[in-house]
Amino acid sequence: MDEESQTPDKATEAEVQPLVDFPVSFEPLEASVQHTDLDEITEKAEEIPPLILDSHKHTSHRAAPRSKEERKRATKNRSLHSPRRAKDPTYPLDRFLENTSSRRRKRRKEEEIELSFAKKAKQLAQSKANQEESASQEEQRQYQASQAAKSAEVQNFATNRSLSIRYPRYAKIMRFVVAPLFLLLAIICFVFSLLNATVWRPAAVVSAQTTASTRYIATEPGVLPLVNNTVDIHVDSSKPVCLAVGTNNDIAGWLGSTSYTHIEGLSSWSQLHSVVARGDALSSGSQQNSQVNFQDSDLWITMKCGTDLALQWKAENNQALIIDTMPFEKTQQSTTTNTSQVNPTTVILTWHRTQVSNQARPVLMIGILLLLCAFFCATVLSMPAHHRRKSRKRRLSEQKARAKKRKQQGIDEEQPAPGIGADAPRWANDHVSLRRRVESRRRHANPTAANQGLARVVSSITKPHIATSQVRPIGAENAENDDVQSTQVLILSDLLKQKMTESDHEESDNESTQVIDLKALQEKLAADEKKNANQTPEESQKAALKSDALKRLKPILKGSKTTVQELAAGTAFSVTSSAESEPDTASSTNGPAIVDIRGVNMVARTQKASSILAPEKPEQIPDPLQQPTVHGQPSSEEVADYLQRLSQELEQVKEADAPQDHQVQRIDGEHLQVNKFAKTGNHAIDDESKETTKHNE
Amino acid sequence: MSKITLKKTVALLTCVVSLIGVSACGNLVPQPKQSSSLDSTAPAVTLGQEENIEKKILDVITKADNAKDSSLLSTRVDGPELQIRSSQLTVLKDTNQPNSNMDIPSGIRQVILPLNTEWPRNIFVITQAAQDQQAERLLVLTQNSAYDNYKLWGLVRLFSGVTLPKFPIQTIGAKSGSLDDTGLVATPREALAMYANVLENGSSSVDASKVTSGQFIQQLSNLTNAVQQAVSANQGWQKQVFTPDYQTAKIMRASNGGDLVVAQINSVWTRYAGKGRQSEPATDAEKVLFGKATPTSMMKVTYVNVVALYIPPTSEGAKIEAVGAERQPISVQAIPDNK
Repeated sequence: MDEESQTPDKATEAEVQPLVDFPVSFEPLEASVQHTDLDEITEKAEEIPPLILDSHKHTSHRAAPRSKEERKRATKNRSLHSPRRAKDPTYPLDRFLENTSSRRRKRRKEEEIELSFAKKAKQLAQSKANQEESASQEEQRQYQASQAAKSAEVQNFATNRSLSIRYPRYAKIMRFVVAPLFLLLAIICFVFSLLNATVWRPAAVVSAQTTASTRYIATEPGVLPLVNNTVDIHVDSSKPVCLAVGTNNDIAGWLGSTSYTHIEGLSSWSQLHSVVARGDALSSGSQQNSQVNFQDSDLWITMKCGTDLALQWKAENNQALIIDTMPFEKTQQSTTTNTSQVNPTTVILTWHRTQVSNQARPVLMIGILLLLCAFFCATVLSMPAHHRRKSRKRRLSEQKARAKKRKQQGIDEEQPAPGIGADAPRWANDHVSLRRRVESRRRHANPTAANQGLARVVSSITKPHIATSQVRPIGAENAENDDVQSTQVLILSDLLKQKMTESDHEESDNESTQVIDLKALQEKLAADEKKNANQTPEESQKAALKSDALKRLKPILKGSKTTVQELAAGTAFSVTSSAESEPDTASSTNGPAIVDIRGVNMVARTQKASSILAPEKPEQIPDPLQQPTVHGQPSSEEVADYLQRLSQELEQVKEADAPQDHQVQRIDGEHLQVNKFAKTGNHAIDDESKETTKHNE
Repeated sequence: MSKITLKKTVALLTCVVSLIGVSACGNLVPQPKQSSSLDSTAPAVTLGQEENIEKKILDVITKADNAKDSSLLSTRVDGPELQIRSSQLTVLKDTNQPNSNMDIPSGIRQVILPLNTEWPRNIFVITQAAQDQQAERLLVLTQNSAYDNYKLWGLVRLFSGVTLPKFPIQTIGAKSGSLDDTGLVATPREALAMYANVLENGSSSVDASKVTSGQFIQQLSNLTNAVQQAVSANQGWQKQVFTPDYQTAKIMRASNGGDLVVAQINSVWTRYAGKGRQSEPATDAEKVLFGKATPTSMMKVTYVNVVALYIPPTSEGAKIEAVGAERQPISVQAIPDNK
């Protein structure tokens, strides 16, 4: 603030230079309060000179001790540049202390190590000093040798200290327990995948066989469609045999009490599991007239006879295979046939898989996921919390805090480009949203960098010209493209005043955001006058000053009672003022605006289409520093010129000391004329005011 | 045991267990479904099997008809149909006149497959009408055991205008009935007895009100009355005795719960022409069967009757109805006068 109050002509380049270091004062005051314990630690650390292995450097360091102020400043900077607080000054103190308690303990340990470390260094230095005084040159050589050994020892100590990385407990767990576990699981999955792809890969063709020495060979129901519904049956025998496919009940009925080889399923992917069994005689029915041969029976769905049989069959679950190795013998004889007379018969069942289930790929994917988990556990998840990516919630809170801070610093929110409002298509504001997105991504950048030093001063001076676009008549909120904006160019002197009395403006900004009720205002003024009549001279003087101030802030309403009543009832006019809608005018001494709603609405209606088609930009002061403030830092000469111009403007304003009645004029006690509106665009209101002026004349 | 050794042991055990689990995963072979899961809703005979069986039976019958040799029938014809067709073939061989009753239309209208897997198994086949507008046939195929083939047990000409009950479709199959099925207006055994009584006694039978008088009863009654008039003029007499064969009856349950019963009813017709007179064969078939034997005053003719009865369930409250019948004399004998 002091730098800003200097006169521009005396501002040399050296004096302007400190403005660059201005951000130090922008740091929150609580930052220095919150780190008292850290300060103690750091102060202790500062008392101990750092270890300098080089003797020359060591002596030079001792010869130039740092002053107390420098140490304090360094301590403050260190505390401010702590990892958490440096990024987020608005981070709550209690939470910070809570989170940093463990860190503090570790830091204490480190401090202890440093203390011991420093003690060693002190001892070394002291011994060196003593030895320098007393020892001879040879002794000095020996001393240097021993010194070198000691320094090497200290260096080793320091190296070991730096190499012994200290991990927090959760980091140890994540890095040395969870990550290896995931890695082990990933390796197992990869092994599984490899085995599934090679050794355990299911074959497309499954062929299993068995050899039997009984007359009948039958399968269990469900064996034929075991792998696939379509099965290739191959029977190999030296003598003619017959095979047939029938239902389970028919085969059981045919077999009766005969012993047979029962194929129960697969013992492996290449071998059929078979046992010798005996059927149930009751299931066959009467055998009195059993004259039918195997191949002539009506029981079979399909039947083939021969020495080398092959049959492809689409089997169902209730169907089974039966093979008669002695088909030309009577059934009754078969029950007494000796198994030694039967030729061994080989049965081969072959299935072709239509869908080969390959489990290698899903297992491989699981392994990759586990590997990724192991990687993240070993890297990101084992990081300290403040090194991780900020959460969305915290990011939003930081953005809010930044916005609040910018608002406090007087930096207005970005407005869409002139002529682009709510009526404009969505794509017209895309560049604004894109810029906001880009800015939101740069969350690690120093938020105060753009608002520091000269850039901040220049931007704070030039920004209000953009802010004047917010001045709008009441009732024209929806008319985005009206041109009732450009008369604020005369506020330049006010801006200078605003810089001089910044605190006062902030207070007035906070108070004047209300719509004035004329009736209530009139009553209040009357009450104030009565009150002034009963006061002492000193009090009345103060009250007069206060009323003057009020009159400067509030609209001056004079005229007949009926007019005021009409105004209050809203039949004739409505008189309003809003400091929110026009913060610059409200903060200045110009008083609030008085707006004819009918006229503005009419203008808004009539001028809306033309404004959209050909919007006129508000007239602004040609500012040589405006372009550099946006894209770069202005030179010191330009700033000096600009400040000189500003002082000249201020003097002119003081000389003129013109009243603010250009805003509100009383006309004939009946109407209120508003001259504040724009000279461009709002022609209807200007015409109306001219007409009323002529009428009054 | 130190910690390191313990850790190594645990790691080794984990690896071994994992390898066992891994090796177990590699030897999984499919297992067949248990037989308990196999439902018995499928018929014991597939439709394809039935077509093959029917074809084989018709082939045998055709061969026998062509050869006019009843001995060829035994492989595929059994029961009353074997007796009837043998008699018909004998008549055919002697008269050389084709008998339209022997025709079996090849077209099949409905097949009623058995659901029961036990033996004997019965298949009911309803043929289409013959080309000469003869009545449809109801064929009964029977397999007595697993070692036997299906044989044509009975052939019944269905009466015109009768309505057969509905049966389950071929893919489901129909249940076989028994002689003592309940829930019917009469058990199959009682129904057979009642029908035989009506055949024997005609309208004067006590069971006449329980049985619908069909074509077969009317024809038989007409024949009996004609013979009675002839013998009574010469002071003779005639008598028919009907004996149902209960054990060989084939019963199939309909969808509505009724029973379709096909049974053999043997009958013996004895005719006495009067003293000093000769009793001659009444029909051409009897003549052929009687041959050149010497007639006497008394003649005994044995008939094989195959009837198809529909016994409705009790809920319907209908009468027992004969839907088809077949009748054929199988032997004609002259009884000596001194007996």
